[in-house]
Amino acid sequence: MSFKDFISDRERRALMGLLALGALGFVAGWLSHSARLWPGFLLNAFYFLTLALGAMVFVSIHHVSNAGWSTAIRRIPEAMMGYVPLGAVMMLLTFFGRRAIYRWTHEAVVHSDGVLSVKAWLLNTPSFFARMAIILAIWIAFMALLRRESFRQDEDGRLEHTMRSKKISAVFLVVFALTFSLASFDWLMSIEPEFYSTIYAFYCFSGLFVSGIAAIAILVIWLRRRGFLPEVGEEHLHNLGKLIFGFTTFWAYIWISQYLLIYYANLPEETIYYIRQMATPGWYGLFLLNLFLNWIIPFVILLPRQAKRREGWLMIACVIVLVGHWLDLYLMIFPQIGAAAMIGPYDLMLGMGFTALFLYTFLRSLKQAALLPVHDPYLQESLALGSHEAEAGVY
Amino acid sequence: MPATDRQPNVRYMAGFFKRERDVLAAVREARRAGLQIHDVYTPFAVHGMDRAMGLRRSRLTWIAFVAGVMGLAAGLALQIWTSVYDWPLNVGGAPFNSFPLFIPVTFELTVLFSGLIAIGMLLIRNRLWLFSKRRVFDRVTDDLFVCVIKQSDAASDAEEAAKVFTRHGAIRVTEGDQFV
Repeated sequence: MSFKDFISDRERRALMGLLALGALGFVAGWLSHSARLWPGFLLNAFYFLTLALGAMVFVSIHHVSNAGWSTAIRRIPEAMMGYVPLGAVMMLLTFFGRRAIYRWTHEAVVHSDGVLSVKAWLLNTPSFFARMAIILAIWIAFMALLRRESFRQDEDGRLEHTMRSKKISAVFLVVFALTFSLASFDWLMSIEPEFYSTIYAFYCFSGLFVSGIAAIAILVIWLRRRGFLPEVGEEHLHNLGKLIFGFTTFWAYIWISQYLLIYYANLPEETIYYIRQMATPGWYGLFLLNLFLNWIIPFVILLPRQAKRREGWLMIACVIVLVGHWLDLYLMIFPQIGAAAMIGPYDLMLGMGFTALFLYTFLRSLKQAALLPVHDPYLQESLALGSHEAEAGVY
Repeated sequence: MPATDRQPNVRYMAGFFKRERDVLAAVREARRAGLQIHDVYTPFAVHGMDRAMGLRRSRLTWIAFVAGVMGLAAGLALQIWTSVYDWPLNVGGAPFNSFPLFIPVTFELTVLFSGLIAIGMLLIRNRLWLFSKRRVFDRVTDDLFVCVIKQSDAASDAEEAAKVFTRHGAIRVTEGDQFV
């Protein structure tokens, strides 16, 4: 199982270097007893897990909606899904840092706080990590099922795999909506245990989906530049660009929906979430930067038709969106633990390590099957995208 | 699609097609043969027709953009003027300039201006406003595709057009300017 075909030895060493840097950051944070280490670990574990989950949602929607165009690029999200098991292990590792992240794990705090004692039936260490393990196991199971059906079709070319993928995807989308809601309430919202927002899970999902598609687009462009996926043309990029354009705006819509209602109602247990993000000039700057990176800049870049079709512009927009969603998660975690507004060396080093880990798993998974699902009934339609035949409605 | 007023002493040839594929092929060949496409009338938007006809990029996107900016400015101006300057009201102690609360109305007005002005400009440009005298080909809103070729200087254009149409399976070829 080698992925040497995709990257050169030098790039492989660079990935190794990033991985080592991540490990170094972790050890250094551990030794210096940094309070920011485990929140940073949670940030990166969750962020890269959402990229893989975003790819999974993309593939599921592709199946459920009978999409034809995305068949030629489907192996890229399918390879990204390969990160889910490792991402699950990383999430479970937060067990060891729970006391640095979640206030409700300190019994003295829970006992002296009326609200937290009432919530203790939900927010207690055993049930929290049991829920986490169950949710992660469900996602891994669906990931394995989806990949298996897809790869088996390469071997026997039977139509039933497409039909079965469709059923698995439909069930997954419903199950995912429920499990991911619970997961984001648990893993992120409970960092500020007295705060609640019913749209919080949906907000997390909007970030998950747009950053997942942005990651897919970056990897597609990257593979195309190296001469892989010659079948993928401007039309496929255009479709990805339209999705990213649309879903950055969707994110902004959900953002304002959450902000506006909390602003309007002006309830102390809700406003604390934003007050923490806007209290100091440092956090306020990051708070505004978040809006620019995740919506205003990509919106303006991707507004013209040509920008969605050009590799270069699309790539810039995607990188901005990915950095933006990392920052978005940063704003959801660090102000809530009372940290200062400073993206520290541990956070960044862990981010680099996780990037390397994610790319490693991606390349390994990519190698496990052909780059095109060769027997997929929709492949012809996808390859013909933008051609005269497709335009004349032959397919 | 550019809809110019009809000109005297210019002949128009119309080819009627049953299938989308045929009209696309006919348009492509007519262009290759140097014929001037006046317009193509179809029951729905045919993918690739813009490229086949060699249409320039629509300028409607710019109109929609400018209209959207106007809507944005109008929405903000309306709310800031009324609730900050002209008639400030104390609502639950919120500041007069509660900017986040202005965003929904601003958003709606941006979409409204952009949408209505773009539609209005489209109807003006293709002369299909309310009570427009412009007639349409029978069945072109139903199941027929019509390609109209405008005769340029060469006297043989009309015959050439008829030939292209029949070669691509036109069910009828007529001449006339009553629809143009």
